[in-house]
Amino acid sequence: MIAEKENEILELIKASQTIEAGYRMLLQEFQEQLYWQIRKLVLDHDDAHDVLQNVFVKVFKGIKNFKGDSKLSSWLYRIAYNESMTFLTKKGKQLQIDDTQLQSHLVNQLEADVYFTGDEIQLTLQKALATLPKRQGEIFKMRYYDEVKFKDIAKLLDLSEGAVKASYHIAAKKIEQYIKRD
Amino acid sequence: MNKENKHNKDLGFQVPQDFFKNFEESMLTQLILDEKLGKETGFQVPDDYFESLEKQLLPVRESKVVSLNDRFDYKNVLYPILAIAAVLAIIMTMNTGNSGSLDFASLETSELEEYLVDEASLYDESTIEILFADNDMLDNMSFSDGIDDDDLYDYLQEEIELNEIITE
Repeated sequence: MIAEKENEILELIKASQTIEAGYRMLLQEFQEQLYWQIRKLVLDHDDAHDVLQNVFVKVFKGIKNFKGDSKLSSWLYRIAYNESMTFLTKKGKQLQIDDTQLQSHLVNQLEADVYFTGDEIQLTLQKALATLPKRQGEIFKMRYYDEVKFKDIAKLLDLSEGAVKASYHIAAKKIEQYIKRD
Repeated sequence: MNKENKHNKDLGFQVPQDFFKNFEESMLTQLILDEKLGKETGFQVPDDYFESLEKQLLPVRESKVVSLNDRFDYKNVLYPILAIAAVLAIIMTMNTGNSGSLDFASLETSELEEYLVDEASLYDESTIEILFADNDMLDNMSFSDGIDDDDLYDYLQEEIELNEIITE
């Protein structure tokens, strides 16, 4: 079902007279999914909006050369992930702070964010996530939020599946402890 | 404000009303525009403009170099310099020969401390006061007059933006 939709989109984009329809379908199909994936990494809505725009600009630039070796959705996920990470690195440089400081900065911002209405426990989860080392945090978010398979996370981050599983379990334990303690 | 749960475990994150509908439209417009217009701006420069620009600018530097070579015979300049250098080299070797070799390990801790204290004293308030005692520039400056808050705010805002651009 999903594969059919993906093929349909790719076919539409190939021909110049249907390209607009193809773009529209791609946006409709994936924008929300990609937005939430990005939002959970960058936390702020305006930042997520900026990153999402960059992602689609890159996607439309590259999609004509998309060979279909992997699923379209995984390809999009990978671009969104890379774009988000690049964005965070840039933001850290701009604020002249390191990864850990950036994460806690983002969570602090969240408390005053009108587009965050999470309750105490949801905010605590974000705070707990901010305490994790960068890689552990990324892996936990991918697995827990986006339900990406360990195998796919390993491929995306160029790690072994065992390392990804171990990192996820360590991260989950740390979060559990943080929430209990809080 | 919309709460979108389709792809979102309930984490408390929200998006503005109609965000996705508007995003789709604006993104599509932008992409179609890019597709039709490309990134060409239409601005052109004359053929070989940058090459000729280089040529226009380069002679300024080259002519100076050439004139120096023309005017002076290098021997006239070089020989006295070499002579002075030789004399200096002899004097320096004689001096260092007397005092022995100097390295970091041979420094006394107390000497190091003294040096650091001296250096630090340059930055304390009283030293600065003494150094600038006869300088009335600061006295003649007025910080409170003539700058209104809006101007100051605009100035600082610009500085921040500039800083952001530089560090990006």
